[in-house]
Amino acid sequence: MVTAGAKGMRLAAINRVAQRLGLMPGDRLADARARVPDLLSEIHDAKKDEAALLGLARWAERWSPSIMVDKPDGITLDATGIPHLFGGEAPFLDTIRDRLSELGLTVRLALAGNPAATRGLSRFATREGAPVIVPEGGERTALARLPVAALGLSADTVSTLKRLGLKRILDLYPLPRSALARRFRDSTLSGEVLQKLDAALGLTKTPLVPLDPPPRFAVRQSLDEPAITAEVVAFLLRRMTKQLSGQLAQQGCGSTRLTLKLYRVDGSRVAVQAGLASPSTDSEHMARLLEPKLEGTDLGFGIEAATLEASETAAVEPLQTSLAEAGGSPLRDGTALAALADRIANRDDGARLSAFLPVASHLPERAERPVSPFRKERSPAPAIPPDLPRPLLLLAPPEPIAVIAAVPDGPPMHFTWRRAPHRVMKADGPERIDSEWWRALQKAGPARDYYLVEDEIGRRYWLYRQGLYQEAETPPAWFIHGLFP
Amino acid sequence: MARIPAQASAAEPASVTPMDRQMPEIAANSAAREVLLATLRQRILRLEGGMPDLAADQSSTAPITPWLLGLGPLDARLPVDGLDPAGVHEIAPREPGDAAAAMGFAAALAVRRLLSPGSEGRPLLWCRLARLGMEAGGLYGPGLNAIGLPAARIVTVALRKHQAILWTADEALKSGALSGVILDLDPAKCTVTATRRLQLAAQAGQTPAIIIMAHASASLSAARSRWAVASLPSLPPPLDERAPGKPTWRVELRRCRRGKPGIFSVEWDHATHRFSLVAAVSGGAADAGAAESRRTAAAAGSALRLGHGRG
Repeated sequence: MVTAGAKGMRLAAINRVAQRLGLMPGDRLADARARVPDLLSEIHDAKKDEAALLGLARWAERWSPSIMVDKPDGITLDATGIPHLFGGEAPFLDTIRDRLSELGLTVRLALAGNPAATRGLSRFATREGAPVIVPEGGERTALARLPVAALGLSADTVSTLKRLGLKRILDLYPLPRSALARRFRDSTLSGEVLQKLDAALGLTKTPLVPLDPPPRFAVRQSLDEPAITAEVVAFLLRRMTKQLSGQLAQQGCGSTRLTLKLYRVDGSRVAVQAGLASPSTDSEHMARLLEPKLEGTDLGFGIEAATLEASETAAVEPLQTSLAEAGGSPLRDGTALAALADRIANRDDGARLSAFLPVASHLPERAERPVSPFRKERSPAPAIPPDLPRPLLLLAPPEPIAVIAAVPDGPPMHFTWRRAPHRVMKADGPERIDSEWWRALQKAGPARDYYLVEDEIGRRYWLYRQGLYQEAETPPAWFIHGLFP
Repeated sequence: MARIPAQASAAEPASVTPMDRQMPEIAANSAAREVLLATLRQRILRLEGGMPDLAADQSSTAPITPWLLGLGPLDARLPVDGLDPAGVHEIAPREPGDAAAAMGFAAALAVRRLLSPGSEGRPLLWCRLARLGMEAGGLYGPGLNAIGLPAARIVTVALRKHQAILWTADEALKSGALSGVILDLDPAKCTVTATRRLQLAAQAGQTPAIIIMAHASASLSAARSRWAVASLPSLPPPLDERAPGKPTWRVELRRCRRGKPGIFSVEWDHATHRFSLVAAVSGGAADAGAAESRRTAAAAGSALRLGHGRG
């Protein structure tokens, strides 16, 4: 791997063979070529490296829910409470090493009481294949013989420390803190050294900022044999939803968003999500939402582990099932409706159930708006008196029609809509609906006079005239706004 | 499927025996023929798997209010136990311009459905084709209220494809969470298979489905009843000769399982949730039982409003 620097191409990363030939990262490509004429080189792409590291980190979520990417080449796992699942710390690290080596990666592993120490140890204290495990409180001894660079200091600071003769971390221990500060010109440099040292020794807490916040509710399942069919994964899913719903029910929570993460054999991960309209603990319902999405999921060469997370949760009011089941109680039907709404919403075409919410407006097109049927807000009293005629179907926007009216401000006698002529036999109106003065006049337009008309074969239409004849020079426009049954 | 008169379930023997071979001998005796016909009808019903054995069930279940239209002559054409509350019903406009009338009639049927017990607190799902909302206008809540169907109990979903509508209706019927499902459908998609699937889903969820066709079609269908609706000029209200009256339709019952087809001119009263016959378009249409029927319907109307509040 080569990268373009200020003084020409330089090696950025090399493989083991090149290492054996005596090349080093940072050498000039021209020099390296001179020493190894048949050297293969590729342009180094830092972005791709980063993406690959991120992908690997997501895959490593199978071992711990809390993961931090340590650029450019490290991943930190919060292993609190996890190694015992694998039979102890050493077997845990061995599992990780084996799995990563199978992917063709070289790994250096360390386990210590804090992220900073782990970071230094894994980079400077280990040789490939031999994980370092620091017993509780043993960071001070473990770090002692490492170079100061293991603290994760900037290159400037490291060279300053070297000039001062402080080559190992060991050398920093006996120095009084104030003395150390005095040796630097700049207090920020000494501050950095002290801060990093404290962090590595576990004297200060360094928070681990995970890639994704770990979910409160999650279950995991690993498989001995990789699953290559959707059926097996579906079976696994059902087992996990049962466990997850148990966890949720214990805490009185319901899931509103589910994430199923499948870990492929080849070190990649695929995630499937489903949203729920109302918090649910129903394992059958959860499985039914996620199952159809498995069919379209690429399982690659097989799935070897899976986690199911309730990525968003909300409190649920406990249901008195015995009572609710006695008769078709609205409460129970409410859950059934929510389950139906979820199934519709999780289909790909983006359709949503909606209900009519009356809005306090006299303008017909603003008199209601679609809302979720599960809204909590109370609907206001509709502004329309119940005995006024309102059409079953509302045209949006209203369509212009050609009209012949007998008297200027009277109902139409004849109108043409979508090229079909209609003779008006009966008419009811006008019902004047004025624009809302608090809205801009040009937006709402002048007042409308609505007529309910019936043509010669009994079809009924809702027409309106915008404006009055005497007010404007041009005759006012007529529109059709709706159809009556 | 054979058309079977409405009196079918009036006299049903408890047991069914194969009688096909005895048919010629018994045919002469009219009383015995009645028994035979009733038996055969019962058997057809069982084969179709739709109806439970009414004679056997009557003792255990509470009396059910049938899904009837509240109009004597029309109800006489329907099966005695009313429209199948777990069946598919198909409504087509007689001409494309009658689409609004067909929807109005569907809404009226839904109102009658909401009146019968067992649907309290459960909403009604109206699946619409998104394209139709643009062309023919969108469902309008105040308009639904105006026809007597409380908009607060309606849940709608707009879908882009017919396939999605069929899938959604299928799921909705099976869920049992609804008091009914109304869906728009193109006659080309309304195949025997599709209607049969819906019918099975309706049975599974004990929920009725009302299909509103885009236009009339003569294709086969597994629907329990098929209707064609057209607009009729209305009778003017008493005080204003020139104003339109109540919605008036020419309703044709084209086919009904265990019912008889017929054509009626009816008027829908949104306040009493009741149909009434319109004798002739020009003349006054006060039918004899109107006053009496209005009184009973008022009680039913208050029941519906109660359900409205809870839903």
